[in-house]
Amino acid sequence: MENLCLQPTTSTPLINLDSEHGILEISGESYPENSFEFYAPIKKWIREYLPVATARIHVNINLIYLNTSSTRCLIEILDDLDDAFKKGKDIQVTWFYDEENDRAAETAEEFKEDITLPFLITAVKS
Amino acid sequence: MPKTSKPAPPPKDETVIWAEETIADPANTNNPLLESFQTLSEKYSRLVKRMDKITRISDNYQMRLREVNALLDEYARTDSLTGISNRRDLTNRITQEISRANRFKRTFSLLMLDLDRFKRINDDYGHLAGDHLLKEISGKMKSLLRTIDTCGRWGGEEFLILLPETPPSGAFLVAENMRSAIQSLRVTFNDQVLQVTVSIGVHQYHEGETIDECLRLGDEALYKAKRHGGNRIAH
Repeated sequence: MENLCLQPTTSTPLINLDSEHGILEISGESYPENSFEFYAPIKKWIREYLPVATARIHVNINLIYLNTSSTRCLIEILDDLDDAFKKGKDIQVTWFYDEENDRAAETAEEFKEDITLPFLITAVKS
Repeated sequence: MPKTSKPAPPPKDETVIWAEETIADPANTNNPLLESFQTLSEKYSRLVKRMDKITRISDNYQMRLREVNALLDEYARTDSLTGISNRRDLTNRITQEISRANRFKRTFSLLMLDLDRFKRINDDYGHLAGDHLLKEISGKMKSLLRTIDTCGRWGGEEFLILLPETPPSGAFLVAENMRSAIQSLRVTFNDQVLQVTVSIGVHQYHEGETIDECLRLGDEALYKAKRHGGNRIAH
């Protein structure tokens, strides 16, 4: 399966979906003009990848800011991952946040809520 | 900034309550549509939960933006070296004070202060010593003022103090406090004792003056004090 890489812009995050190494990385800020359009190919890629993935999948998320529609898209992606986990896929989500931002830890907990797959929340120095 | 605890959950959705009651109603037990209704009701409940979650996350991000905005606003008003008001903040406050004075027929005074022969400190002891002295002096000046007064850095070694509701008599008193406090201030930096004096121009606002005139007259008073040898007050 071909990898999907998108370079970050002011309003969109870095996307690195690497099927070879089983790494799904999203980092940066996300407030595109049209979030659904931006996340559609990402969601599609993940949905196609999950059934064929054989090894452990590492999902690394380091998002500083998300607008509301991006939040919705990300929750939908996490739902897909959680469904795959329930079907037996080995998935580890690591959520990175700036240690100096108290609210970021709270926000991470909100994303984690209702999700059953391993979801690690890690503080990083900015 | 104070961190709030997790917000209270929103009141239970009315449609969810209605659906649960409908399902629980014995009259519907044998309804052929019950199973589909139950599925639909569960999906709807999940959607409501999802919406609440997105709302909470979005609120979190918005709060963070507000906090960062407040911080940036403070940075935009503060002199980064000394932590007192910067020129932009001083200009805004003087403009406001002029409107207030005109509106309520009041007056205010401003002090223009310039450290005497400050270049010598930088030349003899280095810029770090000079910067340290500027910080210490700013702290000292601020400690001698009322909370309604504003003390700011106007430029290099020049400061401005805005004294609302203060006639010249009061302004001279404050100026003399500043002059003598700075004269007797000894600041140690790298085992060197630094000392400096200040010249102060006092100007009382008169109705009709623009901010530029106000500042020019303050400046003229300051240079009069300088011309007479420094370490003194003029108006």
